[in-house]
Amino acid sequence: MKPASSFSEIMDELRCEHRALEAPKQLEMVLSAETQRKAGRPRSVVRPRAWAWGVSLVLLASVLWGAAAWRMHRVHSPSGKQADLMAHTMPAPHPQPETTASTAPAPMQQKERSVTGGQPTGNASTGHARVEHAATSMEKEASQPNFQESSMGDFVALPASEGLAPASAISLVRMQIQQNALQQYGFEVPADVEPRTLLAEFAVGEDGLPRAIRIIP
Amino acid sequence: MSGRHIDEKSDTELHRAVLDGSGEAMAALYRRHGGLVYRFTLRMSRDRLVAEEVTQEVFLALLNQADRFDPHRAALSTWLCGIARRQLWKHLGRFDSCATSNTEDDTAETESPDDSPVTWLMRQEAVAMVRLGLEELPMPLKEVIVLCELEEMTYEQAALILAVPIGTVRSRLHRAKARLAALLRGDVVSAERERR
Repeated sequence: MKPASSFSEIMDELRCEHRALEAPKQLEMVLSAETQRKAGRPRSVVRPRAWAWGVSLVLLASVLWGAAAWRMHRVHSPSGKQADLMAHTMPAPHPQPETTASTAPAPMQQKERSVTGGQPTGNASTGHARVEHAATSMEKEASQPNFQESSMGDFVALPASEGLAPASAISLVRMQIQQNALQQYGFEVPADVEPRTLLAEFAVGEDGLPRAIRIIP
Repeated sequence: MSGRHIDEKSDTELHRAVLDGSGEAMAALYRRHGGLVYRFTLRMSRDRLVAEEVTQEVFLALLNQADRFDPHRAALSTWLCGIARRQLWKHLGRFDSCATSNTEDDTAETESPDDSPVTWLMRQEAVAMVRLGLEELPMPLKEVIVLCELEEMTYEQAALILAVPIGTVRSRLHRAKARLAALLRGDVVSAERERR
């Protein structure tokens, strides 16, 4: 027997011997039964997906609920109602709610609106103010109250907003402005008025132009 | 699904069917690969009970860790052997497997009628010696020789199962064969001496 050839022959024999071994038959039954038993339960691969879907649905529901609640709150709150109302009835001027320094003083009266006088920064005046708006403006002009009295707590249409298309959505922007800055929105501010800063809330349309103002006491 | 039909399906199809709860598909996969897993674990552990337990765990892993099997990366048999190896190492670590071989009595003995009784006897002695030498090889060398020589796997498959580079598989196989051949040479030399 030559060692070199006998080694490969011996390995062949060992291989045959090794391959003759068979897996235990009883395991086949056990595994088959286990597979069927496990099929009755949700698979672990599926579970994370179900969780992901569940969490997504909950988040979506939260967002929808939040949006609905916000809308309800907006509808029921007085300022929201007014803003909505104004959005439908009112055209708009040019916004620029700036807080520029000035020394202009005190009591203001809403300026009688005229097409030219109410436009502080030009390009917002398109000249095609609607007829219905003009009519309401005329009525307002006749009984225009003192600005200081009426504007405290209530929204007042900006004279400068005349001629703007009605806004479909209104945002409220609260800011501090100098009293004499009201001039740029079409209000008349006497020159001798004492300079002071006011906290004001603007109803701004979706086009970014303010429609109404309210001075917060 | 008829038995014949299911046995003709690919491993991937059967695996998918197993995930859908087909016991038949699991049985088919076991018939196809159970032998390989069992032989490997038996040869490595030298304990029939351990081999059975590990084989069962390996096929249960097919159910429980199904998402870990990537058919594009390795064949199912390779993946199963890799799991078998890991499970086996766990067992060997846990029980410090010094199990005595209880497979010796069951091994099939092949007869070659053309040989003379003396030649046959010498051959059986040599086979027994190599078998013993194989059992006593260090684990890293033993698993390589079981996979590459006894199971006739490619170096690539063995490398995937053992999670080592192909070069390592080659060098381990070379060393294992050299040890066994040395055993055999010693046996032949001593036999020739006795004959003289």
